Amino acid sequence: MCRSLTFLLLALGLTVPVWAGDKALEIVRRIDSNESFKTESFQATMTIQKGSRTLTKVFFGFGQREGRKSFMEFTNPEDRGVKYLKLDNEMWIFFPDADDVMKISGHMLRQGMMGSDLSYEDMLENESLEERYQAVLLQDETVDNRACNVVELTAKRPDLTYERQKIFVDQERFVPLRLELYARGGRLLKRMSQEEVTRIGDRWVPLRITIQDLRRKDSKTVVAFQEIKFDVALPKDVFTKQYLMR
Amino acid sequence: MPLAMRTVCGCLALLLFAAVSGRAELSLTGALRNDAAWIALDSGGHFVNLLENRWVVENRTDAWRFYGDLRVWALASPDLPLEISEAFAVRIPRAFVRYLSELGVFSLGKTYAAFGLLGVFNPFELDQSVNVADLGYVKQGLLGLTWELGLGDLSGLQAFVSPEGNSQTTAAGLGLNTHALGFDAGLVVLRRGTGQNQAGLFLKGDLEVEVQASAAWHADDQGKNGYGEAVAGLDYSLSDGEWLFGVQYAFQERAAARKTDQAASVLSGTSMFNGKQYIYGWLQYLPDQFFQARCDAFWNVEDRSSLVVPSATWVLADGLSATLLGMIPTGPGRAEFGHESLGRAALDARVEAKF
Repeated sequence: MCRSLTFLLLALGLTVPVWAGDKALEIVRRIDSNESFKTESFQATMTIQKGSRTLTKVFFGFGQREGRKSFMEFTNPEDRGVKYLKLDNEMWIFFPDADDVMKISGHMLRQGMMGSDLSYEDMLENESLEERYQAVLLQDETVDNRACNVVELTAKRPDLTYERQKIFVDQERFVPLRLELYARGGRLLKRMSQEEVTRIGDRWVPLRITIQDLRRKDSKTVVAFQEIKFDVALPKDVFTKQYLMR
Repeated sequence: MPLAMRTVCGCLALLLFAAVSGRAELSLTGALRNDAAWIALDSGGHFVNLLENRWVVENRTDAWRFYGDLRVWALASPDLPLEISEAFAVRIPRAFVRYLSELGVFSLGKTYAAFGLLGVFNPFELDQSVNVADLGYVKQGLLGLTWELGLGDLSGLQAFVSPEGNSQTTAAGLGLNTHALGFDAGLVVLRRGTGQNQAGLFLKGDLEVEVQASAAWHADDQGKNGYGEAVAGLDYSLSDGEWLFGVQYAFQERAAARKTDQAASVLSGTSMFNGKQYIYGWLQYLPDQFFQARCDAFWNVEDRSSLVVPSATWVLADGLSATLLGMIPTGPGRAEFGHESLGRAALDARVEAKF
């Protein structure tokens, strides 16, 4: 699983999972070995589509594994200067017009980030799958012409956003190529696919991720990474409120 | 040279500095926004058109930031029977230089110190103006100096002082912000240009629903003539965030939170929220990034009048949006939200393009 998506995917919990069964455990260890960065930086675009209409956001950001910290700044004209700070399971947003920082809480948590198919609530999930889910290995399947192990995850607690997840893990690269996220009651809420899996250093990283919130009609969000670097030096104090004012 | 002129000149100098400085990350963005409003008064219907052109120039390095926000307004109101102060105006809401150092973040120029929590009834707001047709409209900056010192990732000390001695909005302020147990919280002490002193606290966090509260006490230099001001509210969402609603109760013992109507000030300089108690509620339908419908309602508890503001916004393309907005006062003639104060109703068609 791609650690580079600290904001976008780490939160979905596809991190450091260990589940029952030798085969499943082996898969998880291989995935985990793909994710051992300390810091990262990235530049990306986010395309939000609804039917034939499209909105494009451009952003860059930094992540730090310790403390699960992330920073993002948007640079496209409409959103220029909007910044996000995530520290563990809390988030703040900086509005350049107001020159002020606001905590994202309450009603905003269930909204899509910048109107995308990925909610703030998704981004705030921090615990590992091992802590949150029990896993069962299912029948192998093929995704994008690649053989995949299929793992079904069931929530250990009732307060999780997704009661069940089904992930399709590339058997050779150990990167989930497809993810299905289910609500309590079995309703499929979101579907994700990860493409353009590329080797960066000793890691396999998907550079294109598609997220569909199935509660939205004809809607999907595509995140495409133009650049990802791991274990890089980060700007000083980047994970502070004061840095948002920069 | 009048203070206003000096302010404008100072801000233009800053803008020029920002524009010509050879530092990295120079950017220029803008927006064109047109409000075509039809207002129904007792005397009949009238048309007003307000065109706003906005230019934002910004230049950043690791240690410095230059920011300027220039607005040009053109107002046309062929038959509105109000005294129009300016048919054409240039405004610079913000123009400042910011320096980031080990000793804190310093901002000098026409800047803004945001104390307390964002919102209509924030007791610590330095610029007591509101635009009910656009609650997120940028606040007018004050010529002054701000200083912010981080005390950890999420805590900090904030200070502000302005030399605009004759301005009623002039203030010196000190705030301490922190974060604990999932709450943002802070203490604020302000000295306003009116000679009043103000001290209070605020907090915001999650208790299943989002809750926020602010309270302030005003007093003169002798500690007398005191009065209180407070606001408390909550908000929540349904249907996985598609439906959002919130409610706030605001108490202002001496109408301390009286606001200048930003939109109306162009036309008539009227003020709003002159009463002691208000309930503010809002409901929003947000199915996706391309459409939202919203209804804001302000209720004056004392005279029982209210102002209802329904709106719908369509995002047509990157940076291009259209909004249809209504304003409906429901109170009797002389009530705050009555037809003698605000007219019978208004309908505003807004188109905004950002580039």
